[in-house]
Amino acid sequence: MREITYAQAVREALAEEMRRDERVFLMGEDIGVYGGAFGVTLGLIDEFGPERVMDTPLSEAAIIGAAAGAAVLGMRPVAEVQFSDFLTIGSDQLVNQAAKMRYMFGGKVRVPMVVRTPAGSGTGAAAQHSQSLETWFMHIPGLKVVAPATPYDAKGLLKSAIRDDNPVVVFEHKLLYKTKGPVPEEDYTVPIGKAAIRREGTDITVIATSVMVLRSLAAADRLAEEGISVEVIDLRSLRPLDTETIVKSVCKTGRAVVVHEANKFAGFGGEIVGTIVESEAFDYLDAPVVRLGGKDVPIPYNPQLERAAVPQEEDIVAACRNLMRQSPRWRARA
Amino acid sequence: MATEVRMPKLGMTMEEGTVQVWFKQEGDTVQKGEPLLSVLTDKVDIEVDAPASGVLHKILVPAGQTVPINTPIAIIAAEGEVVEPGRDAVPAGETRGSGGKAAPPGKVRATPVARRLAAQWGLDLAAIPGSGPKGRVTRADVEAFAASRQAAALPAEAFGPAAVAPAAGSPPQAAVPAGLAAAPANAAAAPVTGPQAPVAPRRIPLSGMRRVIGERMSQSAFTAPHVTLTTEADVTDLVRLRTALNEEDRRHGGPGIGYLDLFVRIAARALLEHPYMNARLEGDELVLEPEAHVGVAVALPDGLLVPVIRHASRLSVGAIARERHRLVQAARNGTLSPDDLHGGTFTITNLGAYEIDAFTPIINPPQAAILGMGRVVEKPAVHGGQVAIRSMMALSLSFDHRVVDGAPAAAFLQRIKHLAERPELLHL
Repeated sequence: MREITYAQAVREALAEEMRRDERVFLMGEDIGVYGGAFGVTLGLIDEFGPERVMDTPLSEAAIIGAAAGAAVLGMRPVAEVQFSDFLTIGSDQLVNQAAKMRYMFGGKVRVPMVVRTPAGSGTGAAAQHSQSLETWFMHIPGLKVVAPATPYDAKGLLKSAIRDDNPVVVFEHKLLYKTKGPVPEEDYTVPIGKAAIRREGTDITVIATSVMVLRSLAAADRLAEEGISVEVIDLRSLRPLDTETIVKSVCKTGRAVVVHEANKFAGFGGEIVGTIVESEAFDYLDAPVVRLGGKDVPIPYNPQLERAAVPQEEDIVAACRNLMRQSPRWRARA
Repeated sequence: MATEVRMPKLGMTMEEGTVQVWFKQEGDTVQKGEPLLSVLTDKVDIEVDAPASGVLHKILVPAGQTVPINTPIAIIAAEGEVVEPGRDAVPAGETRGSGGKAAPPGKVRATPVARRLAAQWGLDLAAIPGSGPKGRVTRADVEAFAASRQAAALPAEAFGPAAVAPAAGSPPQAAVPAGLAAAPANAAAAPVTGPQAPVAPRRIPLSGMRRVIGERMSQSAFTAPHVTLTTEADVTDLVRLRTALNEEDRRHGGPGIGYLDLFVRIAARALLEHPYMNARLEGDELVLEPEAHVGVAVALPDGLLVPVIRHASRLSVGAIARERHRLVQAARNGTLSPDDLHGGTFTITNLGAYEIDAFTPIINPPQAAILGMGRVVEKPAVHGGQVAIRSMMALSLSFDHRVVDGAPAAAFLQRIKHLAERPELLHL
């Protein structure tokens, strides 16, 4: 299969959906001629024109609010928020309007809109342009939240999001835009709410999303050399959450590590741990469930500190090693 | 600066070690590089050198105790150094088992899965030694405890700490074999009649190897549902082949060819043809190994080792014999490397030398099956419509019924029988 970048995969999803359905259109800051802050929409204005690839004023409240209104009236808007940090400005429109309308009007309206937005640290963009705010939106009934880790999922999940009749927030990671992976040329979708087991293992389940999936897989390679067999689950969707895949895996391994970039306190790791201990998997746990998250600080500008502020491959390796050390006889069972 | 001595990692898969004997007492002067203690691992006894010179300030783990690798076991102080009292204690969180800090009275520190299994199997959680942090009982601890209880053909005390401590005054290295060797002589010398002072039963500390055999055999016997099939093979042609090969090999200075070598070759061939026998159970999966690595059981004075002949299907019978010879020598000399002992996909055990016919071998976990070779014996048998004197041999195959069912296992044993009866087929 041909390989393309994550950014190209997002662009293909947008273009294909716009060709497939004339109700689909894009809105955002500098997404037209400039192609967006990360070049994701580059060239789309040439094919679809300025009415469907719409440059907006610098107002996230206006972008998301207009998208919600258009969606209610039958369009299928895809809004780009230049940095996910700016979702805070548009969050009234997203949380109080888009997420609520279908419920408050007794199902008489639908809000088929998508908000795509680059998240995460690692690019030296400092505290106001590097956050991971997915937990804010996971908390809201009426929203769906996805965070693809691969080009394949970036395209497939975005297509599902565009075809979904509910507001979906798609967190794309800045560090992933240039990563490459196999993406089919024919039409396909990735279902929202279904996790993927990226690597099978027997000793520890590592649950991650987005760039942390890549770090977890690299950590799993290193741990395999030490005889520690790690299963890596890529959640892909944070809401709805694929609890079945998580619970089944933890029942198998008896140990779990949840990794996310957002700071650990009140991050989604807590939700995953709660899901595990409330489930059947409780009776299979052979060690405390571990959360790895960012430090409880705004993302620093200094590159060393920025790196230290969020979980890295070596942190995942260390956490897994430490877990296995708590069962010194585990190898005897093999 | 005080130096901590830690339980070293002496092999690829070593997880814990038993302090067998301290060669120095607290207060003795030690030189960096001189033997400080001997450590018993799964399979071998190894002397550990002092990592620093000074005074052996404190022994943290007495002889007989088993601790995970990297656990501090002693402190060597520099000459004249005063070690702060806090250093004497093993840091909390690194202790385990009986030495570990117990949970508050009435509470047992145990993982959820350990609690569930203990309840399911009717075990008293408080009686199970925990190997996790602060004595936390883990799944592996419950399983090991259950296995040891079921294996209790041995007296219960044999598993207690007292029995593991070397008897006072006994030589550290060879305690078990020397003691065993002496037994018949003592028995013969003892008066047969007349009043006697009560003689206490002899207690022999379990060697690392004995304990591992106990754990592994009970684990296998009580987790893998065993079925043993037996059949009899007419090995007259194989006897002829073996005699010829043996003479030729010896003439060229080789170690000689035994029936075991031929059966390693035969089994390797049959395993590749029946891949579900060359398998192991791993969680929810069957793992079918693409290569046949055949373990051969080697009896030792104080136990049993199963070194592995790798890629046995690719080796000639002569090469198998040479490798088997090397492994047996190394097993007897205690110089087997951990790599010689791991990675087997199937095991052969040969009791033919003891005039045994069929038996029920226990599978060497996590493998799926084990072949038991009986004696080769001349018997009257029907051959070509006539009663003739033929060389016959019983073959016993134990298999794990979780992995494979009766019919395919029987087909595998039948293939071994056919290859043994017509060894020329090995050339096909």
